[in-house]
Amino acid sequence: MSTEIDSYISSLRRKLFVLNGKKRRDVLMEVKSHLLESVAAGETPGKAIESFGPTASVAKDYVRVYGYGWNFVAVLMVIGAGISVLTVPAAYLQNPEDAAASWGPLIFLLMSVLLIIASSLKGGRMAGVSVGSAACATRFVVLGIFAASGTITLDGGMEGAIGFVAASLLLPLIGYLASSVRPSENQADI
Amino acid sequence: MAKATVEWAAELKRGSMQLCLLSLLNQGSKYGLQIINELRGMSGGFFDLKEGTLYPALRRLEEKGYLKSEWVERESGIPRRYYKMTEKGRGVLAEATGIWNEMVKSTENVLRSGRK
Repeated sequence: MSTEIDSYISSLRRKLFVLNGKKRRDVLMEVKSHLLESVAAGETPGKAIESFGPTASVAKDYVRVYGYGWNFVAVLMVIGAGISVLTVPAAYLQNPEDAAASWGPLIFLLMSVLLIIASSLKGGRMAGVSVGSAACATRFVVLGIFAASGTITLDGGMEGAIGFVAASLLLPLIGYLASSVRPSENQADI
Repeated sequence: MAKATVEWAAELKRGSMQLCLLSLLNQGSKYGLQIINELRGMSGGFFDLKEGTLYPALRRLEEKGYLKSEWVERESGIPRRYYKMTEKGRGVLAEATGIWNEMVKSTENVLRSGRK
């Protein structure tokens, strides 16, 4: 195979790392087949590559079609869960009158929401809902651990806890809703 | 070509590309390079696609269940991925063609009135 085609395929492979392995291999095989056929039909490798387009935009189009693969979504879920540990406002739940105690967790909650929205917009509905669900579940697990260890007693009342539950349940919903404003999946990218 | 003209052309092509792809594949199974060449030839060069945009468009139609594809090994050693229509794709093509005809007729009526 031509070195130029080889390096084009390698570059595309790197940019498609977010896809499932099977899908990625299949896409790369098709692109390679196209380039080799173009060369066999008389084009130079350079011209065939130029006609195919820059790897960045080609990869972007494929990711838009398939969304993120499970491997990459799993990584995002772990990151989302990690951030979510820091979103549990233990001190605030203990004492809702201490509003300042909620600022730190709120900043992390905002980061978590941004991650969910970005996952949904770039990786599709499945990615957004999965990352949102991981974040939601983590918040409940951490809250449960705090409650079991006696760190949180909810002596300060239920209003903080209700807000916590509502915010947690909103996270997967945000992932779901954000995907609906994803660049149209009905458009061919011509 | 002026920038505005290029944008208009891209917009119009975008709207009609899926219909053209389905219509081409309704004639039988085809592979990517063949589709590009036929599209270019039949449209007199109007649909001169950036080749890397065709394949994601085909994959999108496949994801929707309008097409299916299979790899075919060849003596040359370069395998080809052939795309062909599904029953669902044929149904969509029939409906979309009807909408297209109606749109062309209606648009032409409006354009004609604008020329008076």
